[in-house]
Order: sequence, then C-alpha cells, then structure tokens
Amino acid sequence: MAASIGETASPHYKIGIEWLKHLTIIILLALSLLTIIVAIFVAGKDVFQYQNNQYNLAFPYHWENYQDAFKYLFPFVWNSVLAVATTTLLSLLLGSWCGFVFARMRFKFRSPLYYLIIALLMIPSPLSFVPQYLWIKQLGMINTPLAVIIPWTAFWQVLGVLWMRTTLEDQEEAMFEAARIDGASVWKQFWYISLPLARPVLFTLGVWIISGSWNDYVWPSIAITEPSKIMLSVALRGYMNQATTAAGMSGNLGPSYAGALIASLPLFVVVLFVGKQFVEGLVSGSVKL
Amino acid sequence: MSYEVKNDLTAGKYRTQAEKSFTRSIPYYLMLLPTLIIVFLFSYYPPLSGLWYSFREWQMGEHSTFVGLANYLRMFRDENLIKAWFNVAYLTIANILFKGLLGPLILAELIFFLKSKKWAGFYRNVLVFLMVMPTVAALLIWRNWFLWDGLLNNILKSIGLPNLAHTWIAEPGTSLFALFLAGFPWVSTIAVLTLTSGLMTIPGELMESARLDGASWWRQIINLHLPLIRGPIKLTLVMTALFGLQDFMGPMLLTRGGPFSTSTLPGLEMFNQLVVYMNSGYACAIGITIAFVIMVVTILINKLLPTDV
Repeated sequence: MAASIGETASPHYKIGIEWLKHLTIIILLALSLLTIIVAIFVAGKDVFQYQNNQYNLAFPYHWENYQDAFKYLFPFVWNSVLAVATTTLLSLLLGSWCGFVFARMRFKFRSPLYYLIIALLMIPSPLSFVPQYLWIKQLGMINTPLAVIIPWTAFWQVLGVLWMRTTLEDQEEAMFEAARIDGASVWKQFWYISLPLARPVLFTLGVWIISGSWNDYVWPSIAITEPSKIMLSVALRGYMNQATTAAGMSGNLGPSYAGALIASLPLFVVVLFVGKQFVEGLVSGSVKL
Repeated sequence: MSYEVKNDLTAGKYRTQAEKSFTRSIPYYLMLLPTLIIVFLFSYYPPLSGLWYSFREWQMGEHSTFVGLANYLRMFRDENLIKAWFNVAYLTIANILFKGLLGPLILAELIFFLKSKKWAGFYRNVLVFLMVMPTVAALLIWRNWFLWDGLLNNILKSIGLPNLAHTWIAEPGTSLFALFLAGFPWVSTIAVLTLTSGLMTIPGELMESARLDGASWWRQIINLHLPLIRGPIKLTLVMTALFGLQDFMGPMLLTRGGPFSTSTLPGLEMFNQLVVYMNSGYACAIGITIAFVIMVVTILINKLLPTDV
C-alpha cells in the first residue's frame, strides 16, 4: 500500500488509490453478502444441477423450489410476523410514551423510577433466561404467542425508554408550553407534537427491534414448541436440515436455500423502505447510543 | 448523567407542585403503570427468582429441595462446563479482535477515506442489507459450507490446498475454529455504522491540518482517528464481548457443542441443563455465573479503555 494519500502524489496515482478503496469495499461487502448471493444461485437448482456443480448459477432456474419452500414455511412466516409486529408496536409505544413522561413531566421520584428501568440494561440476559422460562411456564403461556411477545417487549421497551427520553428531552419546551396553555392533554402533547418530530429515531429503533426479534432463535425454540405454532426461525431450521443427509453430506440444497431467502424477505422489505432512515439515524448521531 | 445536571439547573422554569408531593404525582405514576408492571413482573422478578432457584434442586417436575451451594460447587466438577469456559475465552478474544475491531474498523475507515461522499453514502446504505438474512438461515448455510463436500473445501481444493480440507464442524481440532470463522468477514452493520458516526464527528480542521502536515493514512488512523473515536470503539467492543459471552446460537446450530465438548459454550451448557437434563436449579446457577463474568468483563473493558482523553 502507498505510504501517503498526501498532496505530493500525482493525480494518476490518486485515482489508482481511489479505485483500490472502492475495490476493497466491494469485495468486503460481497463476501459479507456471500450467503445471500450463493443462496440465490443455489436456490434455483434441482438435484442433478446441484450434484453437477454445487455453487455456480445453473439454468433452467427452478422457481418451483421457492414454491415448495413457501408452501411449507408460510404458516410460520405468519406466526413470526404477528409476534414481531405486536412486539415492535408495543415496545415503541411503551418506550416512547414513558420516555416522554420522563422527559417532559416533573414529579416526585422521577429520577429513581427512571434509573430503576434503565438499570435493566446492565442485567445480562443469561441471568434471566432460565427463570424467565420457568415463570412463563408457571403462568401457562408456553405455546402461546404471549410466550415470545411479553419477554421481547419487556426487553426492548427498556432500550426504547432510554433512547426516547434522551431524544425527546432535546425538543423545544416552548412548543409543549403553548400546547398546555391551549389545554392539550399529556397524551395529545405526546401523540401530536412529540412523536411526529421524533420520527427518524422511531424508525431506527423500530428496525433495531424488528431485526432483533426476527433473528431470535434460542428463546422461541423453547417457548413455543407445538408444531403448528412455532416461530419461523425454528421452522426454518427443521426445513433446512431436511436437506442434509445423516452422513453429513449435502443432498439437494435448492429448496433449503430457497427457504432461507423466503425467510429473508420480510426484513428485506423493511430495509428497503426504512433502511435509509436507519442509517441516517445511526450515522448522524440523532440516536444517542 | 450530564442531562440530570442540566435539568436541575433549568428546572426552575417549569418546576411544578407535583415534584414535591407524592399524591400530586399519582397521575404520572398511572401513566407509567403499564411499563412498570411489565418491568416488575418480567424483568425484575425472573432474575430474583433465579437467584432463589439456584440454591434448590429440582426433581423432574414440581418438587424442589434446598441444597445450599451444591449447584455452585457442582460447576467445578462439571468437565463439559470447564471446557466451555476455555472455549468461550478463546472465542471472545477472537471476537473482540476480529468482529469487534478489525472487520468493522477496516470497512468504516475505507468508506470514510473515500473522496466521493455520494459513494460513501451508497455503501452505507448497501451495508444495511447485511441485516436481511436471519441469523439462523445464515448459520445453516455456513453449516453446509463446512461439510465435507461444502464450499470451504471446494475453495481449498481449487486453490491447490486439498490437504487442508476438513469436515470442519465435526472434527475436534476444527469445530471451535469453525464457530469463529462463520460469518467471515465479520462486518456487522451496526458496528460499522457506529464507528462511522464517530469518524464523522471528527472536526474537519483537524483532518485538514493533518493532511497538510503530510500525515500518511495510517498515521491519521493511529494518531488521530483512534484516540478521537474511543467512545464508539469502546461501545462496539463491549457489545461484541457481551454478545460473544452470552450467545450460543453458533454451537447450537453448527456443532451442537461437539465433538467431545470441543466447541461447547457456557450458555449452551445452561440451555442443555434446562432443556435436556431438566436441572433447572443448576441451570440457574450457571446463568448467574455467566452474568457475573459478563459484568466483570464489562467493568474491565471500561477501566482499560478510558473514554476521556
């Protein structure tokens, strides 16, 4: 590598370096996306095409693999979408509402109560993993959607309170004072003034919560075990493992990789629509970590 | 903390009666009630009950008896668990170096050094698509790649290194390394974006004067960037370390901890004690120990890497 990108280098040389940077970035990103790229190649193969050459793109592309995977996985996609959507809406609502109350209202024991909630961020999750399971079991929630929604919400709302309080605290107090003089209730101040202005942070937090709960595997695998009610991540493992033979060799991976891609679709849609806001939220520092 | 101070200084502006009186504060407590209920029932009660369970032994179902410290003492005789602690130490150090620091930092610096801001923005947006595939799917694909006829061995053969081929996830010598390798090149979206946000806060004049003084790119990184983005670096390191210490999806999906416990992790041992052996009390004790280690590591990182210059 060059010792300098400094002023002394010739223009040609500089352009070379610039290309080198682009190339390295593209290689790193491509390697990171390799699971997706290879999955797209392999998902369209039948068993002969796969045996013939495992990892290249082969034609004809068998779209029916996606059909098969979709038929098998659809009920579980639905289970997961419902649970994740409920979790996300609940956590965003509870988190931002409490963040608002802590940021704008003045009342006795405000700080102690706030730190009581925020302190939970310092409790490592292994501490509550086993007892949480026993507790949910005692409450009879195992095998219901509540078994994932409640622990997830309990976890994410804390992050929500922290982020939203620090964000909402920076909003102009005069706006709320004016609203109060006009007789706006606390809820109205929150819903019509505070929340719309905090949109970028809500997007960032929302994407964070959605991807966090969508990716969760370990907890859903014990919280919901009834075959028709399991979450997508758990069902996906069963579906993808069918393709691997007992001898540890791979059989036909086409449908299995198609399943992986179908499971990626919901997050793909989310990222497509709010990915830009997510990046801006994190990079601009409007979200205080 | 600085927020508290600021508010107390300006609080006089909108100090209300409620601040002094408990009864007048009741409406605010009612507003917080849903969250407080969830927090107490599902965030505070479980760990506390876990502390209680860790002193008890459960026989298969409802009955449990008080056994004192037996569960904790048992950990010192549990060979699988002891192996798991060594494994997690190895993995965490590797994670911190490669997944927490090297991978994200290289990409963040490369994007930062790009002349064209438009391209930098484009690459940052592409980065978000790394989050799209569920971890389970990505791990299971890596599992396929680690098999005898998988991608990794294919690559090794095609570059003329067939002797290096292994059944990566099934051999005692390679299973732990496979856990580490999965996810190469270890670029996590959030880590890169956190570091990038740090780099972008470096004042332009500082960058300019460094360039005018003819500082080479690595001098700029070592002497300018690293000290100035200590905060984001620390955050990334802590998050990677914590995640590595408590996550056990890797061994669960790739190796099942085997062969011969060569790739097991404490979290997986806890999980097995709960689900397979139904030793809830012992599982709680392991969980508490992991949590304790996590706290110690967090404090250590915070002590070793001061944020203030």
